Amino acid sequence: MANTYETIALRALNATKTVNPITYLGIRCFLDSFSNEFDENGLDNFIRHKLKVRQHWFTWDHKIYKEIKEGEFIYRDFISLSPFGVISEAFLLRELLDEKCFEHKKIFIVICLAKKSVQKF
Amino acid sequence: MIPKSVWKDNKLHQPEALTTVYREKLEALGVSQQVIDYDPKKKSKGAIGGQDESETITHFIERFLASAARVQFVVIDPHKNLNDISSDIKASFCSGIISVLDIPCGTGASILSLLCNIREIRIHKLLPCLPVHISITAGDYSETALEIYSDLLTGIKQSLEEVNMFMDYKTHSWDAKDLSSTDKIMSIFLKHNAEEYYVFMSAFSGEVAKNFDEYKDSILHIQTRVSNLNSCILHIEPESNPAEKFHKKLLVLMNKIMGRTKILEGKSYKKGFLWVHPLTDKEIIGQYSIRLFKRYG
Repeated sequence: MANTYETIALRALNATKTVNPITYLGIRCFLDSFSNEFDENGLDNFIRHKLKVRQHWFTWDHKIYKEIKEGEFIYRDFISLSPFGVISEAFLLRELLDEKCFEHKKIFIVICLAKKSVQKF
Repeated sequence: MIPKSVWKDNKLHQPEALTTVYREKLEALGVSQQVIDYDPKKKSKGAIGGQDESETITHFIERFLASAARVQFVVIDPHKNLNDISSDIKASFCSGIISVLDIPCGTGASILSLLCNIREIRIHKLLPCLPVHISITAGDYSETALEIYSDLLTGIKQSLEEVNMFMDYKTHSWDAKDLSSTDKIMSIFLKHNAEEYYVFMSAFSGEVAKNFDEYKDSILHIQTRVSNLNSCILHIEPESNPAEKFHKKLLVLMNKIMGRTKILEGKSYKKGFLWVHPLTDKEIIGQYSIRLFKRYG
């Protein structure tokens, strides 16, 4: 697969740029700390390995603005992956898209269902 | 691409973080001159580590940097003939929480070389600089070796933290022939809540190949205890007949207990590789034989 580094970097940055600027900055820092010159499959190997061994991925809860209702600011509750988590997710989605069952799908969505009822938006 | 600080003109140069603590320890022990006077060509095998103080210090003088160079060559892999093994090591030590069992740890040449070279690669932005937490459980039967080990690891702690590598360690007296001693150190090692359990065995074949049956139970026990975990057992030995004998016997044991294990192996070319002694600038030939047993639990 050509140019994993750039594909994953772009996907991860695009996924967070407008939704989560702090994670976006974290991803930029990660990419800045690693030039991928040491080993052309380095990022592939590294993420693949971590996807196999890691059981708990770091997440953080935060709010994003939804609307103003009766003069009050209303926020959505959000759970975001860590910057490296987003990069690994981008890698995993890219791997899944190579599977035959996703061959002709134009849209691919991952939803983690909430355990208790929450307001839909 | 490999950092020029560790690979220049087809020769290995030890990372500065390692040579600094080594030099300081030699000075503290008052044996710096003996390192300069030592000629590996005159004493081709070098000392084999022993239990008493004098044997340990002789080994520290004669073999420490050779062991470090062997591990360094495997981590850096400048000839690209150990691609899978080298990538695997780097992937493990890139981020997360890792529990390392360093046995027999000796004076720490192998683990110091591993950590200092990963640090060097991180400094040159050739590996991600994500936080990695490494808990080391070290065992050896020489108390002097354990004391030197502690001093050297304490010496590099701060420089590792500069590149987001956080390390803690504990040393334990370990008798490789005693199953109960092995079980005790395994329990301490596995108590850490880690993503991956890394057993690092280096320069062990000299003694074990001769009397394999005496060590067999302990080796089998180590393999059994990690056989259902995300684990890796890495053996790095000098390329020699005892190492070959040891590795062949290991493979038989591994096949028994770790059926689904991924096994990677590598040997140096006949010519070996060249490394430069940081204190004498002499060029020395190094060789290695390596086995990596990997298992996802």
